[in-house]
Amino acid sequence: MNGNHLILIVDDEPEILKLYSLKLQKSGFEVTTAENGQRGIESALGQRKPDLILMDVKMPVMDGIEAFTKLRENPETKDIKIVFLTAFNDLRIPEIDVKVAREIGAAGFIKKGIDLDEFVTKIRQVLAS
Amino acid sequence: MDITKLASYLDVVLLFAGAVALLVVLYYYQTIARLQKNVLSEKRNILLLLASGVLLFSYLLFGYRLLSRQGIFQSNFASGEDTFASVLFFSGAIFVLYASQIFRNSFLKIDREFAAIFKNISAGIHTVNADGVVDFASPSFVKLCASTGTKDVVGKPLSKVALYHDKGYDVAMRNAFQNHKGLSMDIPVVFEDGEPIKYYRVIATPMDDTGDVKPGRTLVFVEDVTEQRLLDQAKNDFISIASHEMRTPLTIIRGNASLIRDDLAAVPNNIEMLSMASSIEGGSVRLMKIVNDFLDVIRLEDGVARLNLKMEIFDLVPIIQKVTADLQDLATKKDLTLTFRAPAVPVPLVQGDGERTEQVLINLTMNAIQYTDKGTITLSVETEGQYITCKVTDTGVGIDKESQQNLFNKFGTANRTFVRSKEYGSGLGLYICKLITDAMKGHVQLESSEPGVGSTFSFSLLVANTTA
Repeated sequence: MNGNHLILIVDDEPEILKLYSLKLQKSGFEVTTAENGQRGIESALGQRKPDLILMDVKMPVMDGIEAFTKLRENPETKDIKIVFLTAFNDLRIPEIDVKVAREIGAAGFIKKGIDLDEFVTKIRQVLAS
Repeated sequence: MDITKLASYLDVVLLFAGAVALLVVLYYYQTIARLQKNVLSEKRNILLLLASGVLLFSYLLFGYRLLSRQGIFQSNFASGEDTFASVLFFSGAIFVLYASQIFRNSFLKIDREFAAIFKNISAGIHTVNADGVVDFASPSFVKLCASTGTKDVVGKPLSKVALYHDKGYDVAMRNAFQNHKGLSMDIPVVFEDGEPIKYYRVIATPMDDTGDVKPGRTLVFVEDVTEQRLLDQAKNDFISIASHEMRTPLTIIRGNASLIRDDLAAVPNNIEMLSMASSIEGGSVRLMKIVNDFLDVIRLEDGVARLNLKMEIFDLVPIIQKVTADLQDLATKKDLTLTFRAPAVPVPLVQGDGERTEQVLINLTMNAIQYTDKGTITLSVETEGQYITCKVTDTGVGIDKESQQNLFNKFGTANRTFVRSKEYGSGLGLYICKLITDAMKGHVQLESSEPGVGSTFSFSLLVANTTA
């Protein structure tokens, strides 16, 4: 049933991209990746729109918050569900907790480093909502 | 021997003894003056004066009796015939004057000494009276205030002292002082001449002895801790950056180990490999917990972040229910019964940070599961005065008396077996609980513990809206 869902993962860590892609593919999703916010927007505007974007917060070139804002401003991408990937227990970047994520209109947030099955469960929940 | 003669000998002895005792007292006064010891307590001063008065009186009395018996004079003092008695009387009076003078000087000297120290001390010292007005200030504090935009600080309320008022610290101070509470905080200080921001540590103590001022006076000590802060900051930055850099690799290790584990689980006869993959995953999860704890401590120890803890009003019961449900699996795995004994009467709302409170309860409950091999873990909640207390009772290994002492200190786990317990790591769990509950004006404690029987830990939070 997830076969049709396309998920775009935006993160500057290639190993993270690889890990999450693999897990999501094994769980029956289709996956594309981008290594920064700029590329993420380009990818989201491509031929096939993703059903959900997993967005890292701290990235070079364009960070997650900026990319999020730009995607929201564009009528073509404004309805795509965006879930922030946050480093667990982050100190240096502004903390995105559930509330903040909701306030700026994100579909949710997932802490990196959580159990992968839990990770998939959360994504399914967001897609179902 | 003639009785009268014996009596007069006795009188001579007493006269001598009196003189010697008086000299001793005088010598003592002089010693105080010379050594400039701490100011004697008032009670002791009075006793000393009384003692010397009594001694002098007996000296004069016996002198008079002795001399009159010797027949040197028979009439009274006032007759003027008797020069010797007059000399005796006057010399006694001079003694008293001399003694009191030395006594007074000794205090004046201490006063002068204090004044000199006061003028030269680099830290700022001032007092705040019950009305929240600065009623006394050391020269260094006056100078500090002048350079931050408050001239003539003495006589001004805290809200007019720029040093405190600019960032709203005067409110916290006022609240603490009104409740006769001390205070310790680091505040950033901005100077008018554009000097870089410095950090000052403000330590306030309610004064037991308020001098001539009405009760409710507070003594405040203000010290430059910029250098110390920079060192601390450097240390924390190091740990923080190191910990952050560990997170991505840890995520990758954990994730890939679990992927490998999933793959291996699908292949038969792979139990050994499967357990290795599980070990890698388990190890990385443990490491993540330690890294998380380190970052938590740095954040909570930082005063500014601590002030950012939410102070919302919330219901403790759903949080306990949630934690009981969330940790059910963990308890079941060890064949333990984890239950929440629901309160018979409704529990008032509390104030604090809900998420952080959940963290405290998870920590305590995880510990209980950790250190219990069989039996039950019971969570309960009750009202105790202006606090709501949540208790976590286990039937676990218990903690010996000796180890109970530094349980809540940084890295203070109970005993060696605790530290080496297989799944627990950083030794920061209870310390974090303490930092969190302290920040929410609550507390966490070990209620009771007996080796082999079990322990009860609890934390308490203030009932909402009962405090000013």
